[in-house]
Amino acid sequence: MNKDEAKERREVDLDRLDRLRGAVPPRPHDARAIAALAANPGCARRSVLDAAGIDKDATATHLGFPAPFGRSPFAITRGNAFEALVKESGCAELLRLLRELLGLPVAEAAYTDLGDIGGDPSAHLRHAHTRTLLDRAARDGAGAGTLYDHPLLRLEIAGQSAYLEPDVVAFLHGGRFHIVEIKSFAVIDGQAEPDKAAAAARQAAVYVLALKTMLEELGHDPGRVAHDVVLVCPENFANRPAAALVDVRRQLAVLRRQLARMTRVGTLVDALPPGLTFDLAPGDDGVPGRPAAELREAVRAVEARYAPDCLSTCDLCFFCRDEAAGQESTDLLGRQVRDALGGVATVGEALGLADGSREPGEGQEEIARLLRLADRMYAELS
Amino acid sequence: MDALRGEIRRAVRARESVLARSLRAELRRAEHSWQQELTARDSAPVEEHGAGPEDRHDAPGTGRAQTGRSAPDTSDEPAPHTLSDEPAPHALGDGPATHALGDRAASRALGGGGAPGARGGAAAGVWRARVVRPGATGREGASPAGVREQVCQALTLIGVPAAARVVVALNAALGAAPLRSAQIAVLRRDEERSFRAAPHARPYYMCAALTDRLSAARGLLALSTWPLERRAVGPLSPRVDFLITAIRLAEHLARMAEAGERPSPAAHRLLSRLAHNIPGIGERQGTSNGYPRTRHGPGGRTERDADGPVPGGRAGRVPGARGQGTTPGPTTASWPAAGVQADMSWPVSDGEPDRFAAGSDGPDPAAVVRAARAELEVHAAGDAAARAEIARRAREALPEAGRLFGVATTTRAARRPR
Repeated sequence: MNKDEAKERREVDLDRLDRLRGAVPPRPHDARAIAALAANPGCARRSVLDAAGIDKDATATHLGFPAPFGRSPFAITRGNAFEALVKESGCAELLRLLRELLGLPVAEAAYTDLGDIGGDPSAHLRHAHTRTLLDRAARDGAGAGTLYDHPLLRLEIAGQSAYLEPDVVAFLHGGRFHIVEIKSFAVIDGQAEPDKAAAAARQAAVYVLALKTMLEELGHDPGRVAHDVVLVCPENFANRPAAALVDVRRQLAVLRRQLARMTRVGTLVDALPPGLTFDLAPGDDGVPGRPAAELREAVRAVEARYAPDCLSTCDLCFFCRDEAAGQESTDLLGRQVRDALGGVATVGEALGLADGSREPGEGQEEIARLLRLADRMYAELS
Repeated sequence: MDALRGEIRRAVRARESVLARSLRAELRRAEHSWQQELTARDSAPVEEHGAGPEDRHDAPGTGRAQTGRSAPDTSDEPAPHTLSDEPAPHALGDGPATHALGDRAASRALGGGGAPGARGGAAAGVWRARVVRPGATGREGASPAGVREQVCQALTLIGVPAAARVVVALNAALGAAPLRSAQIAVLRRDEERSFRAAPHARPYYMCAALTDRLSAARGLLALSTWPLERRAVGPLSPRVDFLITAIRLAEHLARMAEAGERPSPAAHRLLSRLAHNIPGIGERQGTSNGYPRTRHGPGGRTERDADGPVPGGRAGRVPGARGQGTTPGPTTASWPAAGVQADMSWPVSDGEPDRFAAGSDGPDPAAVVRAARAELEVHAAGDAAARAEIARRAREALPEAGRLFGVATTTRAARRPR
């Protein structure tokens, strides 16, 4: 496919995605949403809805399955307070942590607030400012600055620009940029909650990718962005920050694959029935005017891959869970069970194979034998 | 005057406009003579203050009234440009009259005299007597005029631009009536409005620090009496200001100790917090950066970095710092016993560890000053040059109000070639 054809194809895809979305502007992506993409890369429904920039929350609400999302105001306040503590007095705490963790020389203590450019600047202007200063830092090397607070990066997600704001970008004497992610969940006795640490790593990977992309655009080596991000969390039960390096190479790879998939979302969209749309047809008052049953059918036309993890990352989770329960899908039992029951789609089928009431199909012999063994052991025990 | 005001209200209610007008004129005359009387009394010794004007001073908005155009006694004072060490001219007692002499005398002393009451232990005592309201409990806030003075005092103590949070912490550490960040935000807006409405009506203003784009630095407070170079904020300035804050607080605590006063636990806690982030303090105590090793222990090291080396404190890089290159690195070996003990000894009230809970009552102020100065030397020249450049540009480009409160430079910044 040459360049013109690729461009043409892209325009067709964008046009199709616009029709899928309806007459509303696309919803901008944020780092959390992009990170959530990497959490369940196999879900075509999420890929299509995100690529089209559809407001999944409004869709879920209209379908009768509103997601109880939104962080608690207490958590937000705590998060902000902790971030303010780490960044107080020109990131004094952060400087100490970086000196301990990365061996930052004492002379490097410059702090630049990229968000503070006077007045109430637009995202575009802030991004341009970030770009200029980080370009200068990458060119000048040492002495250009060390800590860049409130940078605004940009990432292209399926043809749309998403603006992303990492907590801090640290530029070290070795000419490497480090993303610093400040999170308010505690690291107790050296251990953080795995879910939260994984989510933080995914989110930081989004920033790393955005920064790498920006350096590449500016003609610098993207390898100058470290794949080790600095995760700053409160330590134990005090509010004292502690830092750790987290390698996000795996998350980066998943994210890249997923974003490339979204760029090639055309293949997914081509398989959908023509004329399909997720338009809520909102009236003047913003209330959706489309019948819920019709929307349900439209959403069901795109295949989902539900997993219990979706409950913490996707707005449509309850709808998909309900759908999976209705089909008795083994997805409901979690990824491990689903993978173990490879080739067996429903719970009923698995039970039938276990008690022998159902003959195994081609390729199901092995799993049927294991299920019957499990059934026998269960019967003996109970 | 109260009787007159009552008469005016009755006249207005009865729609007797002519009567109301004449009564108003009479009230104005009475107020004018009262003002003159007040001026005369103000120049007399403090002890002679009667109970008459007290209620007036304590009324909300007094700060504006006493420093606005209608108050000739303050507008003719020259703005202070130096910080003097001379003791306050007023002898302050403990009685109600002292308290009631109020904000006016205090603000005159602060503004006209140069305000740095916090030089020396005795002066600190005077300052506290002035700022802390007798009988004030921990939950009581300060009046608007009091807030202004307190902020000014905290800023004067450290002598560099500071964020509201730092001002609040300093204020608490020095035992003054509690402040809230929100009060300071209101104060800042009020100061700018006041200056733009009537320039130089007040002897000093809370103003902004200027960024390299000549806009107001977000969240930083400064005093208008400082030279522009001190109010400009370059890339190294936040660190330099942080170090100077630590030095000034440590010096203040040392002076208090010399004068035989015992600083509050909050002051020690604040100094500990600042000292914690300065390399080169605490080797004396045999801990890394003066903290129990637990804080550099396994916490914060997730399984991902367990195999990676974690370099020790880089304190050794500071020229002139104690114990060059000998800072013990964080060792997991030291974690179990000492760590648990240190954890247990941390007060849980504010989540802030008391770093010397084991016996000593805070970091050694002299050590803090030494270590902070050592790091300051590294940054001083670069920072001074950057600040001077910003100040020069501000002088060339900005009108007076802009120099004090910054300008919104979104468009200018976009156009300025970089």
